[in-house]
Amino acid sequence: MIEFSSVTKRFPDGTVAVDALDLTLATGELTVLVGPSGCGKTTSLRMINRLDEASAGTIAIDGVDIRQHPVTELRRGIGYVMQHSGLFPHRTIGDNIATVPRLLGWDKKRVAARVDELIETVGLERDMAKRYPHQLSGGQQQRVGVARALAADPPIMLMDEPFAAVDPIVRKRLQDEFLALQARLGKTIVFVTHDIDEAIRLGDRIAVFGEGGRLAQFATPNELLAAPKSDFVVDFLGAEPQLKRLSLLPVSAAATIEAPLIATGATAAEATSAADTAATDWVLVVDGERRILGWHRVADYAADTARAPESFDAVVGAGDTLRAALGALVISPLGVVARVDADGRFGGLLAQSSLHRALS
Amino acid sequence: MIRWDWIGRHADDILAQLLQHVELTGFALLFGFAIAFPLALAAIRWPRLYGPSLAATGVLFTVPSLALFILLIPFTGLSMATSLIGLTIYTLLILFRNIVEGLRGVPFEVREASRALGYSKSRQLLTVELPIALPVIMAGLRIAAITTIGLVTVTALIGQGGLGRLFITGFTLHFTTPLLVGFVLSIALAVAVDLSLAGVLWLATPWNRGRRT
Amino acid sequence: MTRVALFVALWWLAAGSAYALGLESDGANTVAQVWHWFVDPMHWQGPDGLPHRIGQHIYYVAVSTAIAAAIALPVGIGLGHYGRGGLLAINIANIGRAIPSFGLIILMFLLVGFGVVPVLVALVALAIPPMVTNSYVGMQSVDPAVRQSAAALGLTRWQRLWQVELPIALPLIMAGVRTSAVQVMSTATLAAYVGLGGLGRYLIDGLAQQQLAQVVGGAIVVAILAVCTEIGLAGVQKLVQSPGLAR
Repeated sequence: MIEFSSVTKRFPDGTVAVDALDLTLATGELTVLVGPSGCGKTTSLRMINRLDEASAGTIAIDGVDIRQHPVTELRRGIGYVMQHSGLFPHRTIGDNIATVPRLLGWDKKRVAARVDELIETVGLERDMAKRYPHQLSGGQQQRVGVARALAADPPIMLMDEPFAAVDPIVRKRLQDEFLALQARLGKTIVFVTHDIDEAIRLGDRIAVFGEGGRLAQFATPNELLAAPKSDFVVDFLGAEPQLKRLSLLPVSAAATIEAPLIATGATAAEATSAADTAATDWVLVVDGERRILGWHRVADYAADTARAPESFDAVVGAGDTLRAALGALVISPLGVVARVDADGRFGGLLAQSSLHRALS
Repeated sequence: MIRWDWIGRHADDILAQLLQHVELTGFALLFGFAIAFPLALAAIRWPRLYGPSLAATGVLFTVPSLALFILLIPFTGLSMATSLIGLTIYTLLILFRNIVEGLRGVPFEVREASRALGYSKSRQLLTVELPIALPVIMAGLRIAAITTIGLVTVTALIGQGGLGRLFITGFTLHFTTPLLVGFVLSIALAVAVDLSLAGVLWLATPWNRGRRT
Repeated sequence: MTRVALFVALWWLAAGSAYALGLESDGANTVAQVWHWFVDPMHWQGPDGLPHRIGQHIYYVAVSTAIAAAIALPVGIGLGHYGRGGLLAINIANIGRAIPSFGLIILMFLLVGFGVVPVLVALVALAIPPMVTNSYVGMQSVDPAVRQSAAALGLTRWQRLWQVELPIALPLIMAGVRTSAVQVMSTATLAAYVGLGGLGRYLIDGLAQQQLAQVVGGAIVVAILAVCTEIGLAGVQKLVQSPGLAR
């Protein structure tokens, strides 16, 4: 747990970067500090490992004031990743990653094993250990930066716009890998970005900073989008906050509606009854494994139970987001989307009302 | 330490040496530029030339000044030509390196833009690339000028020397006045030339004024 | 480096053949004279012999460069590390360049009198400015992101200096040392004028006595020594510098 208690940072020229900040970051969570440039988010991050010293107030990690440790000891226990990897150009990738373990006096074998392990963890080739930073692409350098920060397995990681300097495609891939890594490692992560979409994508919790180093709101991404506290936050969240919320919620979060299902070869009466129960004028046809074969209008089916069903493509997986469900909804001829499991078996029906309820 | 009456009596002589000093410096820079500039253009056009040219001018720059002047004596004797050739050789490394660096430092987008606007190669060089490279080229010219002004005094040992002759006079007469006059004038000349070149650069690059470099 | 060596050889060859050409018109065989001067056993022994003179010359250069480095490098590195005094550190090389070294040598002689020490003081004074400027610029050229990440990883100030900043600044620091050494090599030659030993003796005495063979022979030796020094120091630099810095 990282606790800011009335922390203020005033620079020698008089500018107040952070103003009386009270903030508690939970252990094992990824907290994103986000805000416009000059809002104090980076300064707040840098005060945690004392790259910047607070002018007033205290920062405590697990209840212990960070000033109680010698500063180098504190920093060796906190991983730090920055926008430009900051790799040492005169050292090989392997030696870069080994920096903190060597400072901590690990023996050679242990260091070498750790370097090998980390190079794989961050998705690089093993033979890269012998290369120098300038021989790597920007995305690869950023991976090495993450590996170097993870080297001594610090419980806390500070990340200062780590993916801002790579191109959008690489950024998306790095974000995905990073989320997977975090799901496995469960570090306490403080992550600074100016990109609200990145914040919403990655954060367990988001601290929105306003001008002058004041905390505008601190909430989960969903709460933030659902109930922004001020006009500033609304502006910063940008257009279509509800769409962004939908992208946060899994399909499983939405309630399903009554589905008019019939099996192949059902009678006209069975079809009419199913449609009546669900208050629709159509039915979905499934096979013995509950896989969707298509749909019929009840009137057409009653006239000819042997007719071929119309095709039905408005389908989402259980792991998809509600935003994907909305996308399927707009092209669905019936105004509904079917949720299916990994094997394509029917799992429930979503309508616009399901999305509405999920958001309210 | 200084006898002002000596200075008064030898004012004409001092002025003559100062003029020769300026003359030697000026011509050395002129010739140096006349050689270094086409060489630099060639090294940019054919990058393979750059390494060998830099190595060659570098080796020449490394040779101690007096030794270089002496090695020229068999061709040109104890003449002004010997001094000029030697001084010119010393300017080559600095001028060549800075001209190449200056022209290479022209942003790629600027070169592309001027090509896209339809500049011919020579016009692009003269009206776009050279003005942008001017600060770096000028920096080289300033260093070369200051270095040459100091080196001119060495040529006093082979019978030329400008203000360097005052050093010899001071040494042979064991008399500090001429030495100090030469010493101070040499430094003053270096400072004056440096400042005026800086002034020329300021006048020639109005777009850089007020910008920190 | 091989390329540089090749050019030294070519330059020497060219110079040699040029002498031959120059001599025919003169009618006197200077190349032969220089050759004889080199092979004469008299010139290879005693206090006036080549080995002794070369040794003296290297001694002057090594001592004054080392003393100057001991003064200039800590100053330049310190200023660069703390980012202070940049205006002075950057301009001191220009100021040093404006001082005519030949005049400074004679001035020291007239003020202090004959002796090795006043000359060495002048050489040290001339060697300091390029080293201060280059080591300052070298330290300042270290990427701020690299400095920060070193601090963030928990390196102490001393570890940052020795393990990160100095190795990265090394190429520029060494360039300063090379510049100074070459300049001292040149100025030490001039110092023979006020009575110092070393290779300059052949040049100064030969000019005074109008012995062309000795003058040219000495000039060739001192030129080769200077180029070898530069190449040798460049070689040392290559050995100690991280391959990661070569771009």
